Amino acid sequence: MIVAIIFLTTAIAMSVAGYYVTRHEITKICTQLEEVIQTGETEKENEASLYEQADSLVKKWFESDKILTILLKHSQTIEINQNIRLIQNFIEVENRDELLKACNKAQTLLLSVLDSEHPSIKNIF
Amino acid sequence: MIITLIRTVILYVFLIVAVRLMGRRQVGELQPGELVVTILLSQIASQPICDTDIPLVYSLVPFLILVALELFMSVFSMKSIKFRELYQGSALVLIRDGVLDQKQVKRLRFTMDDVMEALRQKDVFDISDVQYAIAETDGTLSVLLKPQKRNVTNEDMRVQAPDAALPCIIISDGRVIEKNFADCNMDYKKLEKALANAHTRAENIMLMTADKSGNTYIIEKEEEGQ
Repeated sequence: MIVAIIFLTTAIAMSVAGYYVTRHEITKICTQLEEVIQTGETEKENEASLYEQADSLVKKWFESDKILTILLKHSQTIEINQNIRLIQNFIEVENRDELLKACNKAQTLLLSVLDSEHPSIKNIF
Repeated sequence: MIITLIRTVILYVFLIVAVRLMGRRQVGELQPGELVVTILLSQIASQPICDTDIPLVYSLVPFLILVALELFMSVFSMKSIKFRELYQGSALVLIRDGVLDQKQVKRLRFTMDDVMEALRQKDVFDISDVQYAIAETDGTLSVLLKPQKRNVTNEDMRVQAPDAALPCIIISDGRVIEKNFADCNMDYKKLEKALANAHTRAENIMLMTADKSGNTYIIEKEEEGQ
C-alpha cells in the first residue's frame, strides 16, 4: 500500500510539475517573442534594440530547450529549434523582415504546443 | 543509438522492479486485471525504446500509475469480497455430479471443445466421472472426481507411509551451496564423508542432493568428449 501511494504520488507530481514547468517556460519565451515582434513593428528606426532583444530571446530559448526536451515530444522541440536557429541567422545577417517572420512562426509553434499541453477534453480524447 | 541503449536499460530495470512488486502470480497465472496491466506495461515500455521522439517521462508516468493502481486493486481485493468479485470475477461450477451446467458454460462463452480440452488436461476423459468442475477466475478448470473414480490413498488403505523428506541441492555444477545445509541437516563433515563414500570430489559433481534422513544422490560431471 505504501509503495502504491509513493508510486502514485510520484507519477502525479511528475505530471503536474511537468505541465507547469512546460507552461512557464513556453510562456516566458512567448512573452519575449511578443516583445521582439512589437519592437520590430513599432520602432522601425531602432534596429540595434531589435537585434539585441532577439539575441536575448535566442539565449533564453536554448536554456529552456534543455528542460523542454525532457517534457515535450522531441519532434516539437526540434521544429521550434529550427526556427530559433533561423532567427539567429537573421540576426547575424541583419535581415529585419525575415527575422520578424521567423519570430511570428516560432510564436505560433510555441502557442500550439502550449495549447496541446492543456488538459482539456479535446486534448485528452 | 546510445539514447536507445540508455532507454532500454532504464525501462528494463523499471519492468523488473514492477513485476517483482506485483508478485509471482503476475508471471504465472494471471487474473484479468493483472493480465491487462502486463499487456499495457509491455506496450508502454517498448514504445520509447523504439521511438526516440517520445520522451522517457511519457513512459515513466503511466508506468508508475499502472503499477500503483494494480497494487491498490490487490489491497482492495484482499479487504473486500464484493470488490474482489467485481474486479476478478468469481469461480463458477460448470459440472455438478457429472451434469454439465449449460447456463454457466454459455455465460463463460466456453465451447464444448474448451470444456472437454480442459478436462482432458486434468486426465479426465468422461464428464460423468466428474463430481465438480469449477472454472477459476484465471481461466483454469479445477476438477474433483467422483469418489469411485479417485485414486486410492494411503488413508483409504489405512497404510502408514514414511514422511517424505524434501531433497535440497548441496552441490550444483561443482559449487557447494552452503545456504541449503540447514534444510537437510548437512555440514561440511557429513559432506566430506558422503563424497569419500562416492570416491569423488565436489568439483567433479554436477548435482548432489541430500534430505533430512541423510539420503544423498550424486550425479558426476561427464568427461569432456564423452
